[in-house]
Amino acid sequence: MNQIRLEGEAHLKVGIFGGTFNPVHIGHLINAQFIREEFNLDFIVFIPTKYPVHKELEDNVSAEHRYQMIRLAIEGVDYFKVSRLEIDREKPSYTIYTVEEILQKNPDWELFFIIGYDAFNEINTWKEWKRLLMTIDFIIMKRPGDVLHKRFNKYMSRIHCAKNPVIEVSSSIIRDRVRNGKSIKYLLPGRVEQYIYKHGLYKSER
Amino acid sequence: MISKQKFIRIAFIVCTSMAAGFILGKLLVAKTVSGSTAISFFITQPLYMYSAINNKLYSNNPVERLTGYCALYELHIIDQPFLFERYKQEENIASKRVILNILALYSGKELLHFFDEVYDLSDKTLKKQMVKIVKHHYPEKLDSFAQKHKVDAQWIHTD
Repeated sequence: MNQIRLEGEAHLKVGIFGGTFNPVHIGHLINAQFIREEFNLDFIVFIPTKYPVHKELEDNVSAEHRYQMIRLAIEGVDYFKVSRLEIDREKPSYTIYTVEEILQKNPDWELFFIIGYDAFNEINTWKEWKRLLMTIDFIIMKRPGDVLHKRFNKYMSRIHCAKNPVIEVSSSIIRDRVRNGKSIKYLLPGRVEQYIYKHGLYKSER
Repeated sequence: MISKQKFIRIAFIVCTSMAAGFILGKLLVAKTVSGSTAISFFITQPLYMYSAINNKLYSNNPVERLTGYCALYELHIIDQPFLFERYKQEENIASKRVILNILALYSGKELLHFFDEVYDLSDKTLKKQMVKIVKHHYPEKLDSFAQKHKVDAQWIHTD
């Protein structure tokens, strides 16, 4: 099983991939795969948020469903894990709490937060963002031509840009296709596709 | 020798100040408790912050100490010798990394001297972090630093 208790071995390079994963799709998985190889990460932990702080969660799909879809998507892959850290927490899904909770149990882990370019450029709206930038490194998934805001210049020694492929698949495309009765084959792992149909997710009108 | 007139004047000022302080203090506490003013927080906040940061910096919990270092950074209270010393004392990598990151933003030549002192004794992860800091913040010193410490060329050319 890929579920993780997030404690144990020391001196590991660990990627933290946070997000709503509503649902997880091949774009997330391919990027995670490339980033793990490029940055020699020991493993990547997918951490689905319970309630996203910075955006509305579409279709009201529970955190438990989103967690189960990730679990199915990464089944059998040793270097991908999924954590219930944010799902089981009473407090809101602030990244700084997650990072500090992981470091509390594993102070010797080197943490890399994996994030998209758009989200990173708005990181100054996150809770305790300066503390976050001081505490961990960031791996940014960019598209050609994307430029980081100059406010981040002084943090550049801890910001890494991934050479990730640009994959034009998004969770919103998948939700729209399900809603409109179109196929989502190949856009996400087969087990996740079956889970979506079995539980009737993303069918309701917005 | 203090004159009688001067003594009376001083005594008057002291007494009226104490009386005014007593009355206003009582009024301030009453108003703060009732929520009609928050002025007392302007007086107590610095003291509260000092106490909170101090508790963090001297906590037994390494993550608490780490947040204490970040608080110093956010308040621009950077005491280099204190952080240099803490880097040597800290045992966990996360705290050491945060200290390096904070020092990188505020220090000048002293930081490079400090790196010279601790580089060879540091863990590989921290060595890499130091190389990254030199590369980004002191690019003109990178070659000499790399030569002096026999830095792996791959670390210099990759992030």
